[in-house]
Amino acid sequence: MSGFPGAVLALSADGTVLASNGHLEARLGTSLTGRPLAEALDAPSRVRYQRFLERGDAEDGAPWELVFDTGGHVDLLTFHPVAPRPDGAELPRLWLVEHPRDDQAEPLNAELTALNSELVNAQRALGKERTRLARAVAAAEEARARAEAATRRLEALQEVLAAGLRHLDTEALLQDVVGQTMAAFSADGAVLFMRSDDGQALVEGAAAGVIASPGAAPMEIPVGHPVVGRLLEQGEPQLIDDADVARIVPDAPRLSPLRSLMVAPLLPPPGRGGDAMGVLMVGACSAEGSSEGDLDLLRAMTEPIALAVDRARLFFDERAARERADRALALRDEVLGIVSHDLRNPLSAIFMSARALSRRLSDEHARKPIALIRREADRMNRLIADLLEVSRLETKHLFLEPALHPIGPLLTELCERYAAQGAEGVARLECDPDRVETTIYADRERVMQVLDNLVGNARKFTPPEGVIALEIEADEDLVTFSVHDTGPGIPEADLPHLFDRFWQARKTQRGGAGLGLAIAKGIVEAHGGAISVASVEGRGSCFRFTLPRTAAAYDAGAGGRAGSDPQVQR
Amino acid sequence: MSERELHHEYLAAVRAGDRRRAFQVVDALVQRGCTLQTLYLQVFQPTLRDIGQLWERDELTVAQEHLATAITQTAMARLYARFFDACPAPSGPRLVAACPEGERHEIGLRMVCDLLECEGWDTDFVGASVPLESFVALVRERRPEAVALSASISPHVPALAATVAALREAHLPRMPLILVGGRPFLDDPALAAAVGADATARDAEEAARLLAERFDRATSCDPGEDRG
Repeated sequence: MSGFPGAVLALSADGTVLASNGHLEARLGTSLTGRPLAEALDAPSRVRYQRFLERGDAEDGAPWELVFDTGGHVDLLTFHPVAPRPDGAELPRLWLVEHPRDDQAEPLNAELTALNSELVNAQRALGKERTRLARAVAAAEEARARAEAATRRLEALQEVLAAGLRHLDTEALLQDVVGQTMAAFSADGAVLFMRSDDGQALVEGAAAGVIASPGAAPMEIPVGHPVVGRLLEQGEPQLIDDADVARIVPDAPRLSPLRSLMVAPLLPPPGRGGDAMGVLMVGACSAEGSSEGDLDLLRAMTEPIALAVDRARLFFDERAARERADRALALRDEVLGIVSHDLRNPLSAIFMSARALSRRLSDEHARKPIALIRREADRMNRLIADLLEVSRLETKHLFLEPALHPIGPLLTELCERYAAQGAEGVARLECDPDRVETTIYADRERVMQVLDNLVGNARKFTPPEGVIALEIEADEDLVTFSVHDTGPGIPEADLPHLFDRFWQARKTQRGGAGLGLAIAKGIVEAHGGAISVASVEGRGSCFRFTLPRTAAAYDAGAGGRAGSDPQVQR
Repeated sequence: MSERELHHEYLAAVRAGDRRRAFQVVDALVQRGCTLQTLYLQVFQPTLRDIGQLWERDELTVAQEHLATAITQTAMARLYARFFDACPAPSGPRLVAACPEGERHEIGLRMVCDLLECEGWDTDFVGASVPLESFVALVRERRPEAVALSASISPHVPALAATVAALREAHLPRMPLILVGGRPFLDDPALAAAVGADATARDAEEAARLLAERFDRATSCDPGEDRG
């Protein structure tokens, strides 16, 4: 027995020898490490040993004998329980000690106790570390949840932004925005109050969730309300508690289910100035308050909402103004048509009577005023004709009878008419009809009307020593007419208005109703052509217009025209 | 069974070396909501004292005494999984505790650590018979607010005094409060000052209370107080 103070074995849960101090192995003359201990035992010992493994304990207390198949045997004196694994499972370890004498037991037991202490301390450190890790994991989870919440909020903000851009109709905009805001905070209700026209009240513009009540009269809170007024004054989003919600409820009864409320003023967009446009409220039925982060998000939301509301209002105002203007224009044209038409009847009577008078009265004194009556009536007739023309152009009832015409004869007629108006004291017209061989596909009378007007204007403004030149250019589809003059030119500022109705460059020189160029433009455009002007002050002006050269070109132009203007009749 | 009866039952179990029975007693106490403090101070601490007296009276062999200790250590270890999870996250001051070189009796000091851990301290229990130099190095690295050392019998006091002296001379970035405990200091509290310690405590409960009071007060006004 000497030299064999005690054997120590460490066994795994399945009975494999994990480690040993080598004493037993030296005695048995065989290696045990890495082998199941059971394999080294004889049959009866194996049964006892298996029972030990199952129960984790010696059945009948120490010592009991284990006989090895090599013939050697040891007595089990004691085993030391050791700490469980972190998951709670115990790791059975068996400490075998053979024939300990008292003087051997002390150092051996001390060694075992020390080993066990170390194990327990390691267990303690492990437990602490495990807990620390679990907490770190929980903290990471929390951080992830916060990041997710932040992402959700960002998305919510984007939703609100998108809602703001989706609508130009204020009512639909407010409804969408309120719904998105409620969703963003997972709130139970949201409502948007807008300042009334007189600025004295906040009127419900839209509501969602528990606050919504379709068909109900809109709630109204006076701007002087102690809670809401304070908010408007401070201009910052706020958390409102149960007590303050209760103070709003008398004015806004549908807020009564809410226990906590976030309220934010809708400040006018930068640069617009003025008081808050309204108030956005988001609330929950539970008293659990919102966080500072929620207020920040709400603040971030109110800006795009205010912008969108402002934009929708501007759009609405502008559209209303345009509609009013369109209505006024239509009414004017209608009146113009009726009046011009109705004026013709009495004018005819004046003509007839003047003619009858001139036949009956040969008196020199009478003839002069009668001639004046006839001349002025004639002028009035022309004015009325222009007015009718213009109202026809406006109401798209211009009749065209297009046909293929050679331009030469057209120009010849123009030159003859010009000459017939008298060559004394007027500018010379340069035009060579014989050299022009192209055609136009157009309503001949209307084209003559345009040329008469342009050449007539040039004649009116060009001094006698000046020149008016008519040039024709043609390509495959279009014929371009240019009327140049060497008159005083037109100020640049006036150019954009030249073709507007009733507009005259010189308000003081009223030679007509100012309709000539407008009518010319209407006729050219009815043919699918375009008219334009270029001018240099002091050097002259050039009016240029295009007309289709062939039926095919006319149809191509008319096709484009028909798409946008189906009422043009030919 | 009352708690007192359970204590006796536990003592009987560890005396007999029956860990299975001992664990059952502990489990029963935990089941009825017994706190870690109660288990430590009402069951483990008196039981180990009783075992020590039984050994002194030669009613227990060394082997039996060691087995009783081992069973109790394991019973404590079985509680760790439950106990650390229930502790608040360590946010309070840090304590490093160790038995000086040669000292193997460590359960009392570990109890101090576990109880302080429950109070939110961050405790490192280094264990028994810690070599002096490695302990000083650890204190330098961990920068604890307090250090606890224990000696079970007077022959271990010189090693403890040497550890305190080494800490004092180590030019630590922050000098921790040094608390000492164990039988010799129980018999003569004046010994604590003689070995250069700042304070001593009679048992785990008093040590925990003393440190908790000291640092609760310190953290509420000036964390640097009392630690020059």
